[in-house]
Amino acid sequence: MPLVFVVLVAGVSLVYLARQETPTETRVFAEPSSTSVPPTLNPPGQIKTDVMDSPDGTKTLTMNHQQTSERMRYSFYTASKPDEADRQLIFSQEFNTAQALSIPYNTWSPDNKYLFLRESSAAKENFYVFSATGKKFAADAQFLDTQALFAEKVEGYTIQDVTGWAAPELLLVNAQATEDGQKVSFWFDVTSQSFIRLSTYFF
Amino acid sequence: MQSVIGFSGVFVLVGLISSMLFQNSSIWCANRLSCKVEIALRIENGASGVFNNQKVAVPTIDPSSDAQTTVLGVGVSNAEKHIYVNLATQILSAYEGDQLFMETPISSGLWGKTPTGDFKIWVKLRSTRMSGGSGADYYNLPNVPFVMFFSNSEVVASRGFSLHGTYWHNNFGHPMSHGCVNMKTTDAKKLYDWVNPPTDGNITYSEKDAGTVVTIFDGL
Repeated sequence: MPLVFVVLVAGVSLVYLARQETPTETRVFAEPSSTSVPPTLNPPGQIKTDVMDSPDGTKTLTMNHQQTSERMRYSFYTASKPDEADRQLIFSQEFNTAQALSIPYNTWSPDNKYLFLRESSAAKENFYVFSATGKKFAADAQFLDTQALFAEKVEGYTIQDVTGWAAPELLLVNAQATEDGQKVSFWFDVTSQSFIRLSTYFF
Repeated sequence: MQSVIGFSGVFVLVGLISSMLFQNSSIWCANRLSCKVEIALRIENGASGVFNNQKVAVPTIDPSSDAQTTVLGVGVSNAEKHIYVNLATQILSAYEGDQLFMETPISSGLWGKTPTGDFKIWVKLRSTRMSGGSGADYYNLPNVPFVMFFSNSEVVASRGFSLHGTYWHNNFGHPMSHGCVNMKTTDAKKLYDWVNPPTDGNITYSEKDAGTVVTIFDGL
């Protein structure tokens, strides 16, 4: 009988000591849910501003852009310097963040009547021409889509770049032949919305 | 027979000499009129302009309304001023000592070559007329603003190469001239006000060869 008691006490003691040295994990961790995402607050980012003056220094084009969640909101204004009293909204649009709008260095036409913007994405680049006063083009178009007009009017070439203005109403378009890769420059005449093939390549 | 060979020889010789002369003159005049007539101050308000055979509106020039550009900390030191034009990148950089004064895209020669080397500014004109080209690239441009003519012993002054403002195109960063260095008018004014000789009226000659050095290089 005493032997049974001693064995019982020794057993209980061993179990007690074992539990003390290796404490078991008792906390419970929540499994991430794959079916529901808790709502998050995503406040709009800071408004960033880019500015490009006209070559004669009398006008300015301002781009405000602000990120909101998965979108980027763009607004473009023109104004006369220095007081900018005639500030004019030219264009405002939201894009997904895979696309970006920017002001090219040579955005202003030499007579300050037009400007062009660049749209960049992984797939392509496009160039849009606007009137500097916000005035619409024919058919109530707010802007001229250079890629779309080029595809419509010029066969066998794709636009590589639009570098700037060759003259007050002539935008310089560099293109490449789809068949043999030949590089050719065109003038895009903003007033007639036509493309003029050039013998000189403007590199 | 001998006379035929002799005549052919003279013909070949004339051809060779002509081609050599032609090669040497591949950098000829920046502007046809500049070479033919005196390089001079010309303010022609109301005149019409042509570039690429297209009519261009000519800005009015009123020198009395020019405000001098001043940049704090620059232009007051005695450090040497130096302009660099990189033809490969189409970038002009202006330094005062080791301090960068300005850096900006330009347009160098497309239809005519811009000469390379070290030059000095020999005269500054508030405005002049430039013309040249033919057919589709004919140009005749009054009131070219803020003109800084440069030369050296090989590219002499009468050939009319210069840095100047540009009102007829906006394609900077890409070759677009007949040999001159085209700049945005605002950039040209800033440089014009900074370079030596210091501006003194609408026409300023460099005395004692003290014009700012312009180094033009291929940059390849």
